[in-house]
Amino acid sequence: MSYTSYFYLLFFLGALVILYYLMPLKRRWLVLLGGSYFFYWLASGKLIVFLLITTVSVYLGALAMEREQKAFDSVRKSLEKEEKKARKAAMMRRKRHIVLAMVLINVGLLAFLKYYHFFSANVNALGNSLNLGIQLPALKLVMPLGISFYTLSAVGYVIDVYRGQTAADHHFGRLALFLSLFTNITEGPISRYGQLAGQAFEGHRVDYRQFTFGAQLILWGLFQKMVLADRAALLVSTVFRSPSDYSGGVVILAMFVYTLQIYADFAGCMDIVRGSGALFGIEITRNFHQPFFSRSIGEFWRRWHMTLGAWFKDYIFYPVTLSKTNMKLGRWAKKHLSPHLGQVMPTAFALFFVWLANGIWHGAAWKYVAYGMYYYVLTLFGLLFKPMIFLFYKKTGIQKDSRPWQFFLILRTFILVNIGMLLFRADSLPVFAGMFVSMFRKTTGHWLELGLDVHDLAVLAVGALLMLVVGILREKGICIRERIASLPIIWRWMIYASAFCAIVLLGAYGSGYGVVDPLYANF
Amino acid sequence: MHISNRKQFVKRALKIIVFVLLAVLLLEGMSKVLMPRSNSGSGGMHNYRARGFYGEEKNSLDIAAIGNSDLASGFSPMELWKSHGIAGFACGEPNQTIDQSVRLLQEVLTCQKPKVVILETDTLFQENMEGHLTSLVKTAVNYLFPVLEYHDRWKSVTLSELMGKQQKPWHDPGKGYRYSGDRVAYKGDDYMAETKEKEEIDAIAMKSLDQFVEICQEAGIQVMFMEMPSANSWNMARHRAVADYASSRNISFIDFNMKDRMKETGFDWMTDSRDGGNHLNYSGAKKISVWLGDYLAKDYQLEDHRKDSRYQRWQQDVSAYDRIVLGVVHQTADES
Repeated sequence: MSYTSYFYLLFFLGALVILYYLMPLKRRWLVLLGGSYFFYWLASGKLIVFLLITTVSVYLGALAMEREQKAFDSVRKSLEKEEKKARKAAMMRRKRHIVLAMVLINVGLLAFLKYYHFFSANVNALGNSLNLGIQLPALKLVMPLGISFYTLSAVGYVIDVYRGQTAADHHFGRLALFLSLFTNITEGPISRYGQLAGQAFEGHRVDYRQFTFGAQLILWGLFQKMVLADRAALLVSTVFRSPSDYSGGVVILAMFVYTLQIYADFAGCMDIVRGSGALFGIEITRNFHQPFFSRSIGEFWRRWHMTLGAWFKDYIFYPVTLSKTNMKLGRWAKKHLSPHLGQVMPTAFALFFVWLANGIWHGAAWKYVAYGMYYYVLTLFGLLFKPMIFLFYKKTGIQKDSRPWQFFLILRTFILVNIGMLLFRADSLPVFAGMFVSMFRKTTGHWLELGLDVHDLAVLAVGALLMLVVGILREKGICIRERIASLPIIWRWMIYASAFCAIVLLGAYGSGYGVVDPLYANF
Repeated sequence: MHISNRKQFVKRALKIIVFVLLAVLLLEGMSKVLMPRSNSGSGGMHNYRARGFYGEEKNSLDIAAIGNSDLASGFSPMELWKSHGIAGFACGEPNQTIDQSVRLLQEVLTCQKPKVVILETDTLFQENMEGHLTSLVKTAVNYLFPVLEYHDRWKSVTLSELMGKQQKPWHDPGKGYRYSGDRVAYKGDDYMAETKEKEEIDAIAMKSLDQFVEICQEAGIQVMFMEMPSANSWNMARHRAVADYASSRNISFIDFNMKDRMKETGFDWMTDSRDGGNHLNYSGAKKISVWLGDYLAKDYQLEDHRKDSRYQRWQQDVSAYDRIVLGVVHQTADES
């Protein structure tokens, strides 16, 4: 079920809000759980079993780890130092086995369903070229909705329990709700147990302000998704469907419009789900923070798909950075190479796994691996040349905080991100290479023959400008909803009514426009 | 609840209700402005060919056939007229779902009172990305507020349309039939191979089907089910599902995919499809329509209107139709 469908907006959300607030406070979580499973079943049918496997496995796994911990805690005071150490090591070993099993089951399921085709195709190609006689069978596999998102939430939960950062949840319903909440299940944000489980489970009273703010956020999300992203999709699919027909300005335009599409699509859906959560008094984590005002690639990834970046940081970057092998690598580099490389190499080693995971998380294809490596190389470049960049500022006397220089940094990051988006959208690496080179050739193709008429292009331009203005205001710390709320009712309602009419009239839906599934729902 | 809290609650609840009402009024207003003033393609009507019946004289049709593009390509009402003087119309929309069939039937009944309504049963199994439930909601909302269907007309709406000026309805001499002279043979397997399997009709689709039948029965209209030859979307399991439903409701069901029926019509997949098994070309449509004319004239005792002065326009339409099927002129949107 799409978040922009009438069924979701008028019936599902409407019915759920009414049922939720009619239910006694302590039972309200049951409405959310029932609604979430109904939502999932409508979208995935029998594949709901995979969500249940994940939920049951991490529920039992966390309880088993807690039992181990409690058994140790109950005797620890009575133990001698040496025995305590040995018993603790044994307990930690058992907990490690459990968490490893949980990660293997869940990540294994995700890996099998998502990457088997990619893996088998590559193994078979290699086997054929080397005459090894290896032939992995072709399997008909279907991906359950949101598996890439809820698996990370589930794995994060068991690792947190293993680390002792979170207590194991004894309430199966609460855990099931955390992993299935309809606002997060399709395309995130990747929720953390500590942030979401408690507040989703807890019954909330009607909070008028939060409720109306939620409705406004849904409107803004619908505008981004339906008016901008789905309209941009027409131009993007026209150019990327036959990239060899276009070159020069048209390819550059398609690249920028795709960046607009993916941002308006993903951020728009995030605003719809955050607004939906607010209707129930739930605060859904932010996933975007004006990413296109970033001054560096690192900052961009702290502002774009923030929950994914944070997950990789907590569950890949830190463990790898703090691993014994990596520490040794750092010491070796410091001693044999230079103090600077002694700092850079352990970070670079850990970042390699982060960017590799980031790439393949987005899809099972070599282009996604290249996508991750593209950002890895850019990040590495920044790390390696840090002393030289420092020297550059010193020698040239450029004021880092001056407006023109900040603008240059933003523009530079924007262009680098757009190249990354071109790689992300192109069908394959050779297609990306072809399109990239063709950008520097003479323009072929007419901008009015790319699936959008002049009216559509005008709507797209004005809409993008509106997004930019909203972004600038947010960057300045201005809460637009607060500002609107402080206006006299007549102005407020005129703004809401205009937004509503703009979505109805200018939305790229229905006849003449294809249905565009949320882009991140496929990852 | 404290008195002031209660007052605040009522005030806020009222605000929400008033805002919802305002939204409904806005939708209603925008619908009035943007709804096409004519049933023609150039007037902005979507699936205009299926709505050509608005251009027919009131209560003049004997038969209204409702279905998807298979129907529009495979059923030519003018062939019935030419052979039996039966006035029919093919209301075929691409990818029509059964809930849309119900809505189109309701549209037909606003200006026509046919004696027989034919439902092309492919609509029961129309694959919909969003599923039958969301499709049902979408169709209902679109009919309630046409602006949701015609919102894009802000690009082309003229001042006179904004003033609400009605245009003369478009008259279709093809009577909803979509002509094609292309020929691409179907050379695939026997898609109607015997099987004991029966495909279940989706529960929501079934509700819409019940509604379709009940509307006809309440209006005193005879219902008939029909399935056009379609190698790509039809099979024996679907035939069984429809046949069982039809026999339980005492409704005639003509499935042109059945081998004996194909023999009777002379239908041949080598010569009668325009796209390799999905839609029929003129040769196929003619065979099906001529057979159907004989069947309807015999079993439903429909009157021959060829000498009826009220149907003079139909005689003129014959020559326009013949020019199209003979390839003299191209079938265009707004022929009058």
